[in-house]
Amino acid sequence: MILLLIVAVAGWFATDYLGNKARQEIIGESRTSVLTLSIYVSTTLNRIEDAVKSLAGSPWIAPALLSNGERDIEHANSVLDRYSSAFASITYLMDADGMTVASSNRRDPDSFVGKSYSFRPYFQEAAKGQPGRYFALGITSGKRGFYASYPVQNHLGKVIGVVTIKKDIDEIETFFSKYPFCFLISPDGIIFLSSTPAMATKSLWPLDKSVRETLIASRQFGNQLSEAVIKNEIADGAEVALEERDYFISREVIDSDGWSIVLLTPTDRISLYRLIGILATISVGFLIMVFSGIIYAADRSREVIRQSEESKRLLLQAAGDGIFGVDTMGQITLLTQKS
Amino acid sequence: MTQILIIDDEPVIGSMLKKVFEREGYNVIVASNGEEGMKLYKEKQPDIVITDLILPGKEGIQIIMELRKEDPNLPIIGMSGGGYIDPDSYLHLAKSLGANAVFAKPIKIEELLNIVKTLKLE
Repeated sequence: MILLLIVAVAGWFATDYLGNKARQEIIGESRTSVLTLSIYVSTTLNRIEDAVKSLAGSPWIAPALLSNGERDIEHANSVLDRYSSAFASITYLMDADGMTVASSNRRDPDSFVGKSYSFRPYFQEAAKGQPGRYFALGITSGKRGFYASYPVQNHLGKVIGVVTIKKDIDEIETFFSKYPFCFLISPDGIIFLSSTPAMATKSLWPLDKSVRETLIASRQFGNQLSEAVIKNEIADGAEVALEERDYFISREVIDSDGWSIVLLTPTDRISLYRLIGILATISVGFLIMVFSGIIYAADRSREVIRQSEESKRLLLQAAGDGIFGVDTMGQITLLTQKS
Repeated sequence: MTQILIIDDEPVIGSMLKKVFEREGYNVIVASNGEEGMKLYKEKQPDIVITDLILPGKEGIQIIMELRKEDPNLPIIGMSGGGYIDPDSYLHLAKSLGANAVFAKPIKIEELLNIVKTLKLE
């Protein structure tokens, strides 16, 4: 009984240890994965930002804004085409009012030329002389894109226009596909990219009414926002239940605006490791009980035989005559005191 | 412990690379521009330098040239997304000017870790 109690206590500690070990493994793997994803995504975007900065410095860009002549616009378009081709993107040049004067998609039916994007934050940031970055659904295309903008300055340093690269970032989603739930979310929790395509542009947690109205008015994620996927805002290192499974949350912020990569890692392994601990404890306990049973049965048999022989001996001792037993070889095997 | 100096003007990228290398057991220092990078190099004498090539102020190419003058054997890794001529030109230039390895963005971290391990062993 004491041995069983020791096994039960040791099993409890072993099960706890295995559960913690599984948790530490999950945390370690999850942190490594979210950092790998975050570096991949942020350097993908940083590459576009580097390119737009280079594009703004091209000697063929500013003249198109200064003269607005056909030849200068043509030169600007040829530079925009080169960057568009190198970065598989749409590149366009807006004047100081936000009107597009040259664009790599100028020959397409949904050309940006002649359209104003002065309401877009990426234009407003660059018009103030700062690099701009923005994630949004395209107003014309409806596709998810990353917009990197940079001011174009004259020789006095005055901003005379803004050059922008719009990169379709659906391809990043393929990098997420090996995880059950992996998202790129906005600071407000809108899922922009998702390993589960049906969740894209839903909010990950419920939004305040004012935030919702502001987002819809900005058209950043279209004209409407779907219901929230989970009940509360998530935090790095917490756990969450989704579609009847529990997940460990890793969240890594990838830019100064607060966009982040969220990775949900299933915690099933913790239960599995604990189950192994419980089963091992039960097995050891069962084996101890079986061996105890065998030892008890053997002791009991020996006692029965001993008692049987004792009673036989007493019976023979009680006889009036001497008794002796002889085996087939003539050897004496039994001798009472009276013989 | 091997010390790595990371020079990147995007603070979030510098911070994430720092976390990754620290998890692998490296000692990491981060600079956010070329001038700060050179100052830290002189103060700390790191074993490996990883630098972005497009930086405000002192460019990554210039940093590589200065580092090479300081120490011909220092392992230097350049990384970039693009350049003024075409996306690969800066990377080719960086390698020809003395970078031991160059990486085009986006960065695949396993590849970067492997090259750092290789350079450390050389």
